[in-house]
Amino acid sequence: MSLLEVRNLDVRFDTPDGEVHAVRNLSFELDRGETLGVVGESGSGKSQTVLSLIGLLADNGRASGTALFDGQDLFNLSPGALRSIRGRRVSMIFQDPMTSLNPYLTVAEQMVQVVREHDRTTRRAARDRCLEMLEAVKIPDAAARLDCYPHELSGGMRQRVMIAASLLLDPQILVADEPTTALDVTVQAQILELMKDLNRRLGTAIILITHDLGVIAGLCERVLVMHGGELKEQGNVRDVFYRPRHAYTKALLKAVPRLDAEQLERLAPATSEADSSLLSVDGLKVHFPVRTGGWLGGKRPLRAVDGVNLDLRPGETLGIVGESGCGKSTLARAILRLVPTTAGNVCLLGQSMGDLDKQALRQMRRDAQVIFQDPLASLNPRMTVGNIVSEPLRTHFPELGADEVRTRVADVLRRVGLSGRELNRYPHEFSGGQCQRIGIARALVLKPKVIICDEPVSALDVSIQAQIINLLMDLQADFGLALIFIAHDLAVVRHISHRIMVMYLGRIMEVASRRALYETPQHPYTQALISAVPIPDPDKERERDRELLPGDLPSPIDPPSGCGFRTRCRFARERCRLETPELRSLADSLVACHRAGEAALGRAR
Amino acid sequence: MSASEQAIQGQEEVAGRSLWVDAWRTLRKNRAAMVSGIVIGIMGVLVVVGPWFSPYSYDFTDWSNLSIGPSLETGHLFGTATLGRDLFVRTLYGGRISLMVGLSATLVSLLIGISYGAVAGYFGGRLDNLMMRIVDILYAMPFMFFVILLMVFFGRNLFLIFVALGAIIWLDMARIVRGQTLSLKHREFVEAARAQGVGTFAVIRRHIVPNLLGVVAVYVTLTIPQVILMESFLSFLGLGVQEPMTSWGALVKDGSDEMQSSPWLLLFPAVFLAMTLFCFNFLGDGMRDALDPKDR
Repeated sequence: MSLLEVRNLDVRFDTPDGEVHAVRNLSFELDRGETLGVVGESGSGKSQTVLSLIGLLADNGRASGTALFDGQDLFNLSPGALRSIRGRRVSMIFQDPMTSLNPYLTVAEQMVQVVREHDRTTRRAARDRCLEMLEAVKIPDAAARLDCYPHELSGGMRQRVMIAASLLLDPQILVADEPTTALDVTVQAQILELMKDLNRRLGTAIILITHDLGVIAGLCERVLVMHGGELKEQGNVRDVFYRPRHAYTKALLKAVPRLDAEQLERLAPATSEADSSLLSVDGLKVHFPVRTGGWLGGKRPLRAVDGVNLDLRPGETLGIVGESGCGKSTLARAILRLVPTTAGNVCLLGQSMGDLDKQALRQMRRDAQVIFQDPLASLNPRMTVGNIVSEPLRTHFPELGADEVRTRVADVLRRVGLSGRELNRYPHEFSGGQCQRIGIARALVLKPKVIICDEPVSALDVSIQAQIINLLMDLQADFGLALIFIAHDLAVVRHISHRIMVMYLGRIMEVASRRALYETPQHPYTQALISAVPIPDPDKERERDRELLPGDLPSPIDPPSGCGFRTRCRFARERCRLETPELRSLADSLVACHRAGEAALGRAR
Repeated sequence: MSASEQAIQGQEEVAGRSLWVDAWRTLRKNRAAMVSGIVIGIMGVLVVVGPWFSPYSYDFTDWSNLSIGPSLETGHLFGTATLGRDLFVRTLYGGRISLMVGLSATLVSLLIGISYGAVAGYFGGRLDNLMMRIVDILYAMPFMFFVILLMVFFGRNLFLIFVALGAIIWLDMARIVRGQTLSLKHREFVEAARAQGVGTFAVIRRHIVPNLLGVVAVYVTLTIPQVILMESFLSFLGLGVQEPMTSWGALVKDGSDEMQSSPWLLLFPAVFLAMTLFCFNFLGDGMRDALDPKDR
């Protein structure tokens, strides 16, 4: 008999706009020690399925059907019995490790609470159990971490604590709801490895909910594909990936940007005015003064961007990749002069932006626009779409008549794939992808030469990501735009960029053409990044010899001496501690590493 | 041909609208808010026009009808006070003062408070520090002392009460607005506007202030009653409106002294005051909802 058997599950919500049918007639099984992946886009009902099973639906939700857990029907249990199952036998970890930990309690306090809620043990024994679990999830220096507050831990460490807390009572099922979505690729690789290991060692069954097919491919044995509240396909992970039967699964698999794709479908060649640089950045530094050591402490610089050079040619896409906190967004803002620069120079169209007075700067801003990560947050919630998109026009061309403005706005909306009739609606009425289109329309309406895209697709579903990237590529071809495309996702960047720059702690680690970077990565960090990206292909993913990058990004307030990457680098030597490596040309790349090119580094893919 | 016709029709259909037009449209659908607005309007007209039609003036003592209840025969619709003054006309006169105090102080707090707070919050740094320390200093000044000082220098004057109340009431607003602005200015839509080259004051006007309105609307509905009550407190201390002139606050206070012998003296001004405050609350709530596009 299977551990969990769900039959004809329906979940409905009563909302002021009528009933919402979130999950329709879903049936599946889970065996002991099995890993089950649930894939779907946001709104597909994947989270609601699990929440309904453990009785955590929102108040206006109702679940019907049967769910047999070890022979007991979860829907017929008393709240008390359900609660004891929920903590002890089924436990859950959530997407955002920051918000699911109580910021006012130390790690030990919250974990001990969980143990003592279910077991009558002494505080001492409970604490020992916590320590044991923290060690099981491989938190370095676990005993010291027990008395830390959540904000003192890094994102990856917090997720480890969450996992440790959920395993305290030795559950039979561990439900992970997008456990790695908020984490960097290198940390994601660590967490996935950990979950795989726990599943093997403890025999805990895992239900992994995610939108990322790559994550599923490496970890899960069976897969459910959900769409619009319905189960579209379920089966063995190999069958689903290699022989998808349902059209939706096929579309989903096709939409994922892949690192191992044989051929890129289309990428307009950069225009060949190679010598004329559209945008050049020279020795750019952005340091933020940060107060350290309390009230009387001095101020120390946080080196967000620490000496970056780059060139952008017309019609070219430059990808910038790095983990969160590597300074890539700050670089974008500094180029646009949204944050003050500490040193260095930015030239747009041959004119140095540092020398411009206010009026001239405003003129320059016509030529350089920006698209942000969170599509909804980047639109003023109290302005209509018409006003949002027309604002740049009204700012730079106040002489335009109302009719002319409206025509241009409607044109540009149609150009980005909207109907042009959205003028009077507000941003919250649109989906994430549509909001991002509106953001693109706003950037495009002035016909700029450069658009800086700051993680434009990170907050979107996979299939929408593909649409937005294709739209950006179309627009680039049509208008000869130069793009700077910032992402933490190497696969996405590969799809759109001509050249790619890898950043770490505010410095450039490697710059190379797309081909050179992915085929012959020279810098150990680039190699590790590429190796950390999960590939949506079960066999390849399992065969890969993954190089796990240990630990987290060091603090940019207190960066390591010499090479910034040396603390996590397998190849670090004494020289890396003493000397800061400069960018040097090696094969087809520019690399900042003392040891790049040595035989020992080889290729770690 | 037909396609272009459709396109033209489509464009006619979507003439641009602004937040304010939309807000007005939504507000009109909110029955409680509309009724409240109308009641406030009637109240406003009544307190201005009403006294002209009353046979008595506010300081006339009717020696033959001292302290009588409401009656139609004598023409004292709301009765008279112990001094034989007609309560009806006095309630309307009191309303003039109370509404004027409430509205003017609110206006001051809206104009000065929002612009001061938004500027301090948006520019931040040293300017913010300077502007907020000024606010702190004004806060630290005892209100009563401030009012007495004004009275000593400039003599007793209704206008001075407005000045004193206004000077105090915008401080809270400035603080609230500054706090909100601090969190708003790092939002991406503000950065997007800056990246487009939108000027600083246009950013504040178009992107910061409209997003403050929810908090501001709520705070204003708290301010109006607060100011009206503060005024009556001042009057009670003999620093505000002086007999025979009056305000709702003063009337309620007088009425509560005679509550047992002549309850109508309390009842009528209290009902007027309560009703007005009620309506301001409903209207403020309605405005907050109407100005938030997400609530539609």
